Amino acid sequence: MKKVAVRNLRLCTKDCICLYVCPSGATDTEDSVIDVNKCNGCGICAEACPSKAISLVPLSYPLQQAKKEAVLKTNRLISLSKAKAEKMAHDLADKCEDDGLYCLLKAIERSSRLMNEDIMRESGYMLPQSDNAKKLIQDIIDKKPEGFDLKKAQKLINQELNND
Amino acid sequence: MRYICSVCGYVYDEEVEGVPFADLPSDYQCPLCTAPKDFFEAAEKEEKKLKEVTIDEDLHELSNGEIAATLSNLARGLEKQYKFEASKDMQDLADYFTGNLPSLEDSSLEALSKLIDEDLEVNYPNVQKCAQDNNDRGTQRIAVWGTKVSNIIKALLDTYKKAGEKALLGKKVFVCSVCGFIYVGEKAPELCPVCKVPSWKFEEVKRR
Ligand code: SF4
Ligand code: SF4
Repeated sequence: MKKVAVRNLRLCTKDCICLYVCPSGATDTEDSVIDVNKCNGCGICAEACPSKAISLVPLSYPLQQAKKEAVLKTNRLISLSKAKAEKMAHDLADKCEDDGLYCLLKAIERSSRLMNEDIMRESGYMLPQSDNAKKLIQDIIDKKPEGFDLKKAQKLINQELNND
Repeated sequence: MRYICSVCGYVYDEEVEGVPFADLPSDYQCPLCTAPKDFFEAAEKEEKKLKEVTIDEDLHELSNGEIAATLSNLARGLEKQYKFEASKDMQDLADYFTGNLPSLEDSSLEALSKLIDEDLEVNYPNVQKCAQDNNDRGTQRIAVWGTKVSNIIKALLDTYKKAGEKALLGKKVFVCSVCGFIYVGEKAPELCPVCKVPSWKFEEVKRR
């Protein structure tokens, strides 16, 4: 599987050992982002980095494990309910006059979204490049919702989410 | 006897502490996650019976709220793959749906508490059971996290209903950006009590 090196800027301490070991010069860039066009995926930098700041990410991803029908169905109990809780917390925060409560409601709004993202990820939407994900976006495009950025969605499907 | 915090799993062992759990003051809080005393459960309790639900047969279309969460989850996925631009575009698509949610009929703190209670009593236990039956470890993990996080939300709402603004006076509110755990206090905890990520993964909720 072809891979490229990426650097986590949060972990990188700029010790720069990766500059010395990289055979292709891909790690030596003005913005600290490893040059994907130069990197050959050899992994020498990742091994040498004292901060474990470099990982090798694959250019294509394996197929996801199929989810059981029963799990998909039951998970909807949570996704429907958390979507509702998120919206309710949002609306209540909008109307709310007390600062403390406002913060609490905003936190609940955010937290509900995070829990919902998790359940959707486990409902067949783990990998952005999966057929499921692409089909979801294509279905939205086909419906042409008013004000929806069709071009952006189409570009995502055509360019970013192809997996070969 | 041992008592376990239902949010983060902290164990209060009467033998070690020397004070019977029942004798702790009613405003006792979990030292790790601040859950109130009545969120502790005896370690040797009987299994609760599952409240089964029938799921609507023709429930295929995702609601806008679910689509929003699905897309923002995909945006997170792209971010993990270091595809920052694609991630931003995906987030924009998600935001379109977030901004176009139909309004709800009745919104109140009561109604919000009811949603959380239903998740805790019915929805998560059913998801957990179904995931176990189908050997789906990923969904089981999410159900465990979701239950704990929903528990802390219930606790915070309960406290607020009792104490009002006093409950949050001079305190900051933090959300774990990984599992959604909410922490009220002066600074974010060292480790998230639910999913164990370090404190920098917490986001502080901005005041108005
Ligand atoms: S070796 Fe690691 S820590 Fe040092 S500059 Fe390179 S990526 Fe950063
Ligand atoms: S994987 Fe190899 S070519 Fe790519 S940046 Fe690291 S050392 Fe350089």
